[in-house]
Amino acid sequence: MMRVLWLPLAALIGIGAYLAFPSRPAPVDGQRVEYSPGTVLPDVKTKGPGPMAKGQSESPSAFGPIASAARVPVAALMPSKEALRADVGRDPHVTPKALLKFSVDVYNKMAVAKANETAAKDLIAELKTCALDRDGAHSVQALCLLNAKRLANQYPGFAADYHSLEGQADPQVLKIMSSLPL
Amino acid sequence: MKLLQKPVSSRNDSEGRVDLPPGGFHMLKIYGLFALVSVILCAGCSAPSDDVSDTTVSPQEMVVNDLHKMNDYTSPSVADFDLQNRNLFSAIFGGENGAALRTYLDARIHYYYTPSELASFRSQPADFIHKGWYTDAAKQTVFGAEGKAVLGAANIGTQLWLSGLVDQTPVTVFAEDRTIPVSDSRVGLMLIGPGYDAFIHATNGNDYEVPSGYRQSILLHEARHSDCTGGISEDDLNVLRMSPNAQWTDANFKDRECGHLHTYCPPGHDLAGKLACDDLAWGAYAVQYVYVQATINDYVGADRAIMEATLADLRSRLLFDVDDMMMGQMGAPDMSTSGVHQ
Repeated sequence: MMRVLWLPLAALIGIGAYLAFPSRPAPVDGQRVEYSPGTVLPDVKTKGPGPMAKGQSESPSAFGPIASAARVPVAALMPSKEALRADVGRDPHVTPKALLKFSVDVYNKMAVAKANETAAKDLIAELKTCALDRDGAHSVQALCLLNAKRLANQYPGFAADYHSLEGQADPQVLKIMSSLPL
Repeated sequence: MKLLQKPVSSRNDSEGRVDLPPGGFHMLKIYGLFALVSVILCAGCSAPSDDVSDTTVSPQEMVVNDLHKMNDYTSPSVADFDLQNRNLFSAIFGGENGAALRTYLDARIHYYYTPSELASFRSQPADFIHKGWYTDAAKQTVFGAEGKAVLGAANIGTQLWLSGLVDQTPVTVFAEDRTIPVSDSRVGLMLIGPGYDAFIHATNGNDYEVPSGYRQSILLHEARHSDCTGGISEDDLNVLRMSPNAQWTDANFKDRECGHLHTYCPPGHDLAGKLACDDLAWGAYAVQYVYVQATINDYVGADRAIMEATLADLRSRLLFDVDDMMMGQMGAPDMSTSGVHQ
């Protein structure tokens, strides 16, 4: 009887603990930094990027923010041309912040998809929608195409999907993508 | 955002040290200087603001950090790139390591100022006569069309120098303890704004530290604007004097390699109408492109994603055939600078 009660009780405690202290992936590689207002950021004079050593990688938790963000479809993450133009209007000399954010968002989705073929199948469909979006910015579409190619390389079953996608992509997108090493 | 009140100077900094001279400047009209920056090198920028993301790291601290990291840079990626690309990295930057990058940068950029500091600058003259050539036709004023700027960086020295040539007057910038004669295109006055970012706020709620190499690429881009490659003719200075607006300048000014001025992105381009494209080889975007392309294999994870986005953005702004440029069909990069010629 006690054993029967213990299992649901443990589950309740676990759920309660998760709700009270939502898990956040720890910075595992010194690159990703979390902070909230009031938190002092790391001293970039002593810590921070130069080029990151090869071989280091992030290993996102299966739960928490990365996983939940991974459920947001790419279409909802894509910056519009207007958003990019607004960023460039504010500062033409830097990469639009919306594009940088999108690249990190897609990276997070890729991290989940690389570990799970089902997630990869969903993601490659989303990347296809992104890469062929007639209203999309070419730089955004190129990043989608690049990541679709990566998934096709990892999961050979997606190769045909990718080749079909590449065949339909805008030539400008293909030109941009040709600059991006796999 | 907390900003240091001291300008960062790297002049005569052969060992990578960064000198922090005393700051504090007299009040005077600086918006003439910002107005210059706002068109040719900074289309669409509006009045700069220091009020951006809540971090404890100031842009100037980041510059200091980035310059130190640049000093230390070494990677086999660049040698690999040079092997495959006719030594283009070395041809542009003078070598394959951080010391070469610093030499390139220090020849072209000497002072790094925040908007707060620029706002207290004094200059002679305080304003310029000919303003049409840098004023966007779509805007009544150079400020205000697109809200507060979050300017990352802009090389204002070259534009001050050009403005002096156009107005046929010597230009001098006065700091509290420093007089900076704007006597050539490499005077090297760099504005570092709040957009010189440390973090990207992702959809998952986390903040990702932007790799230093991303910001370094911006500095290298801005440095290229210091080169007046091929010089500038009196005829073209006359074109600037008679120009009613920046669009007319863009269409009629021939010596755009002097300052490596950007061009308006054409109709149909994602950034159509923005002064944010290059149609000439080896300009500021191309130099930045080569740097990012050569170093991108140094990065993994989210850093890599950020550098990929940068590379995609740069490639999209180059209006000519980039492969032709890389293969030498548009000539070798000319990294020289010159002045006025007949």
